[in-house]
Amino acid sequence: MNKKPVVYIAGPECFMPDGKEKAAAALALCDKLGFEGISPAMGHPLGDEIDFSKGKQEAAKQIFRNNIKFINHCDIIIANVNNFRGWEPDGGTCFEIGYGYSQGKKLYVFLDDVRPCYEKYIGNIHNDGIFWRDDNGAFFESGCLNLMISGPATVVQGGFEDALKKAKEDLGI
Amino acid sequence: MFIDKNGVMRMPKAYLAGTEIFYPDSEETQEKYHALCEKYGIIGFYPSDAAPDDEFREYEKKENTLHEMEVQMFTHDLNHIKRTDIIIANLNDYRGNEPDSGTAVECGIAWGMGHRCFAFIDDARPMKQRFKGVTKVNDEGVLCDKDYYTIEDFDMPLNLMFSDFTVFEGGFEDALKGIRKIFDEELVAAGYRPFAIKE
Repeated sequence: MNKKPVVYIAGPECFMPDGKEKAAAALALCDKLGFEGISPAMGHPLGDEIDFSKGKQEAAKQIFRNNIKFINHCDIIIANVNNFRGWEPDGGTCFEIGYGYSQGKKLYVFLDDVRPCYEKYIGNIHNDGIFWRDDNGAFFESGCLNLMISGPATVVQGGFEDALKKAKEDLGI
Repeated sequence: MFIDKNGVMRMPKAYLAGTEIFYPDSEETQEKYHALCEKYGIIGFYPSDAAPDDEFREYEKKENTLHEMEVQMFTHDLNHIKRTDIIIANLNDYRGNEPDSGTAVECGIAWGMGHRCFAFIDDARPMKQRFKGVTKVNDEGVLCDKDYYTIEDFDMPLNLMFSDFTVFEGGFEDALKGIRKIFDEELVAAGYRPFAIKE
């Protein structure tokens, strides 16, 4: 019997009031579909106990190192790349996608709205003949995400469950 | 000049990650950043720099789909990261309260490849203090945004996944000055002279 594929559950849910419930639901779904899930929000035996006695910055570094360990342990990263506090996904999640890529992890990202960035953007847009640009002159990418994400990752419209099901289908498990 | 991972003194190569490429004056910025890098003894690779003729093959498009274009450009930027030793990232808030996602992905790749990681940001106060927008306090007394999403409170200006980055307050040249200082200290400690900044 092969080992279950390990999924690292990335996203800004940890900042949300119902983050723990969302993480628990994602873990249960992993279990149901034949994966082993790791949620940084819920901890994992691989992680060290966070020691706040040496200050907040040291605690942050411990959490960072734990997350890196979890990613090292996983086969697949499934990341929530919905816009977070503006028009970009959560920066920490994006770092994890990049780190995961560098370690050869398979990447799946999910978001609700897969229209091109300039169509989703609520604010003035201007066409210069080639690109749509915002009021600051910055152009929008043609896809639904920055190409540093949509280049290497499989993009799935919907939620965590949709991405997990796509991974299951791709793996043929 | 810097001392590389193998203890060899040579010119450091830096990947210059950021949102500068999105703006109409990107070509001027590209030129300016290259000149500044030279001044501080660093070889800069701006994202839109042509790929040098070296061992990194660029992705060749087979069809002409948007996804292929994305993979091609991803490969181009990835190769720039592969040919560099350090990353200098503009992690200012971009269209909201988060840094540009492409830059953040590049930071993760570079960190994973063992790059020395540096960033610059206009306001490097802890996130709690520099957060722009409506804030609320939840029942547990934690500072949150308008949706009651908590704001990180780790005495750091950026998400904790960037905690291995040395963050400089200011612009690109401020970062270069700070990096130069760090590299010079390492050069002196190894018995070399510091780099003579080209004015």
